[in-house]
Amino acid sequence: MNGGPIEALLARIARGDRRALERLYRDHHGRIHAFILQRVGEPALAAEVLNDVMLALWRQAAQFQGRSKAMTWILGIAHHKAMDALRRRGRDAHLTDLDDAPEPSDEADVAAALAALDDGELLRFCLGKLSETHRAVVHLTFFEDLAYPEIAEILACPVGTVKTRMMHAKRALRRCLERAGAAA
Amino acid sequence: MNEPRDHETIEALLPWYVNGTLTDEERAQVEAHLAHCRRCREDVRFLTGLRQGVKRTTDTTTDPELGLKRLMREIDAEPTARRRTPWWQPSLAAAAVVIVVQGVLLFNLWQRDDDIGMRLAGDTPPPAVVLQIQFDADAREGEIRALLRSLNARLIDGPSAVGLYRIELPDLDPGDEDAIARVLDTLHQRQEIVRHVATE
Repeated sequence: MNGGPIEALLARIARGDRRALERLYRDHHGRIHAFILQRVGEPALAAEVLNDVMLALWRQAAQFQGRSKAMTWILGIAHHKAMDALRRRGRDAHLTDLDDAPEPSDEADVAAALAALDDGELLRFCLGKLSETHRAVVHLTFFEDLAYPEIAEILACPVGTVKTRMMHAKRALRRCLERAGAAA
Repeated sequence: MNEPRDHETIEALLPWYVNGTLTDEERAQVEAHLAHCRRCREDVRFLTGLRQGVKRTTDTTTDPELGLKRLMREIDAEPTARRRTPWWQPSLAAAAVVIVVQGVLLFNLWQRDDDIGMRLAGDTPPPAVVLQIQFDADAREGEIRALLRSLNARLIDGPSAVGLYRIELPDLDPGDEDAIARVLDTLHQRQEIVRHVATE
């Protein structure tokens, strides 16, 4: 099943194969759920959205045309479902003060930020302070290791926006980690 | 005087330099810039640590069973009109009936055959390549049908008492061992559908 195992599963799902859907769920739900959780922040809501995404795959797998990687297409659906869920909850793209963080301080402080990165709790705290959109770019870049054009496709925005969001997220995270590292 | 703008352009690419997804041209530009920009080298250090930290702290270990049960329940509860009903579905159903009837009719024939139960066609050599095949118990009819169609194979007998079928591959020359080996290899790779396959 190599050379596109997810694509092969989608083709089977498009033919109404429930076992293929089960297989896709078991093999890939963790990655999809992790992305959704980054967007919505709440495990219970993330589980709801994951269910919505899987139902959408069941109904729309035939629409996958292979123009992008299958996981890119799936994460794009997850992005839209997460946004819908946030809108329903009235939490559309809340921004926090971290997003307005100033330029990072001088180079010497990178050591403090790097030291803070070793502390998973501190990193989670600082990631949690980002907006959903900025956190999504960080997740897709560093957890999924996706290229910026793929991220732009998933988030349905221009590549320039991806770069700008990443720049803001990086500065905000570095600032947060420097402070946290210095305080620790 | 383009230096500040170049610096910003390169700085914006650094996260994807770190995750290894830049094009060759972009990577070369970044590396040329890094050679003389200490600030960007610091950035790369930070982003490398950030990438490791994100991978370490992202939890993907959730139990799928609860969510999967709910999903299947909801799919079962969907109105049938929302499910896909391809144009070939009625003919597929008819074909399935034929296969079942054929299986029942042939079952006795298999039973009367020798204890291996595989030389059903008698002494006459097969007109084309014939394979003995056993499908996985969980394989769906649609999957089997698609597999046979991909090989332009047709089911000619089965199931035997031990669950073996015979399929004929009219496109293959019985003397073309390489082509037969390729088909066998293809079938061996479909372990989710094929449990056993051999030439007759």
